[in-house]
Amino acid sequence: MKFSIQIAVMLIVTLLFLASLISVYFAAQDEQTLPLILVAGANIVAVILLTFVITRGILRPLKVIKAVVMKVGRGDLSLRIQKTGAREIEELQNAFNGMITRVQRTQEMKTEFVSLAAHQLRTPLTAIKWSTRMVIDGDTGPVNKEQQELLEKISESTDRMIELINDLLNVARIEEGRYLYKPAFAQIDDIVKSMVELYQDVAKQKEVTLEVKSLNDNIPEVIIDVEKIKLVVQSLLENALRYTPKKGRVTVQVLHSAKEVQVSIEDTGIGIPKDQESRIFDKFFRATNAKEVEVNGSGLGLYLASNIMKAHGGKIRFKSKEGKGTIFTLALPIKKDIEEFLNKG
Amino acid sequence: MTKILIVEDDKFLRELLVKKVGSEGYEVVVATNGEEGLRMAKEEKPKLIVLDLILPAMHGFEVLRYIKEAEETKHIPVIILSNLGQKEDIDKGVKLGAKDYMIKAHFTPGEITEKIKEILA
Repeated sequence: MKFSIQIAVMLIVTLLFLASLISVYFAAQDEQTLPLILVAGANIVAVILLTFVITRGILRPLKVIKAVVMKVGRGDLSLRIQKTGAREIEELQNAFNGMITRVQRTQEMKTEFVSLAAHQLRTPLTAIKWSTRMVIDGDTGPVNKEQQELLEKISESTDRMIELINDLLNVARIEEGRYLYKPAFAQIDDIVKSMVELYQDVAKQKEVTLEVKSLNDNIPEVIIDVEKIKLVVQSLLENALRYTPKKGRVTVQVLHSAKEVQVSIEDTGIGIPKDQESRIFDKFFRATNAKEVEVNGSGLGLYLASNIMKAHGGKIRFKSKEGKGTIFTLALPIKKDIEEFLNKG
Repeated sequence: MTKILIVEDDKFLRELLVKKVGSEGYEVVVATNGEEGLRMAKEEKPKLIVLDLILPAMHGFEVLRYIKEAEETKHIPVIILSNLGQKEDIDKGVKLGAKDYMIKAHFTPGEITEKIKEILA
């Protein structure tokens, strides 16, 4: 039903005015009771009509708008307001829907730009990496120790930049909805064990004990995209090792219940400050104490991890005490078939 | 001398690869676009081909498809060397018959040369 509040109110006022005119006419003829009843009746009708106009035309649509605005504010730009209520409200709804569309378009352009820029950066970065490595390898003649050290720094920084670009491209893929998932049955404890093996050298260098503890027997298979879950485990292991001081310990556990398989990674590291706990999954966010320990880091690892876990219908949780350590837990639901995975994803 | 064909459109990367692979005692011939790469694969009869994917004139996957279809070239091992690194790309490359798939930014010229040696051994 489309109506204008302005017209509705005008009609009601006209009705009241007519009622008053009639009552004045009767009052002039000295008939006392009828005009009073007429005015009272007209007032009651007017109040009912006004209430109807206000709820149907303004309050109800406002409630709808409020709900959508809140969700859009939280970042869901796919929503649009369903048109209900008076014409004046509809104009507001149209304007708001147009605004979300423009914000969405800007977001898309930003993501496209990141994606393009990152991809374009890969070739020159490859050239820097290759040239540096060839000089280090002595392909252009001998290098002295000092030169070698500086070249190694160039090489390391280039590798960091390449990793950052990989992360940025993954973020862009997620935002563009191009981050495709290839689900398959997998034994998560095997994956975790082999990943921990890969990081033993890094752990040794840092003098941190890295171990897999008390694995449950018969961990059921889960349906996952193996490459992407590896990325999640890798992020958590790297963080744990990066932010755990010498003589510390990183313990990895795989457990399961009837409904889910859990992977937990516990460290005795610097922890996450209480006031920053709510932001650690935000894109580009890095905790203040993390930045002090390690200058490098994109702030994208946990953002990616939480997106990947969400797409698996799983969860990523953590408990932390600043200065004591952190435990991250990944929970993957046990599902019967791939079909079910795709629906959830 | 064992002949290696490198198909790479970026001048800088191409020169670095030619230098490195050449220094290991291989004869290196180069192509700077897809069409040229396919033509040279047939004319030069290299023992191995290093193939980029995003190339002018013809995409690397097309080049690979033709190489693997033609009788005279289908036995030549091909290493894809590209900065495309998504699983779909890698799967596609392997399915089309590439011997190996290396992501440029993740390997050094030394490692690429080692891979060439390994395949030709």
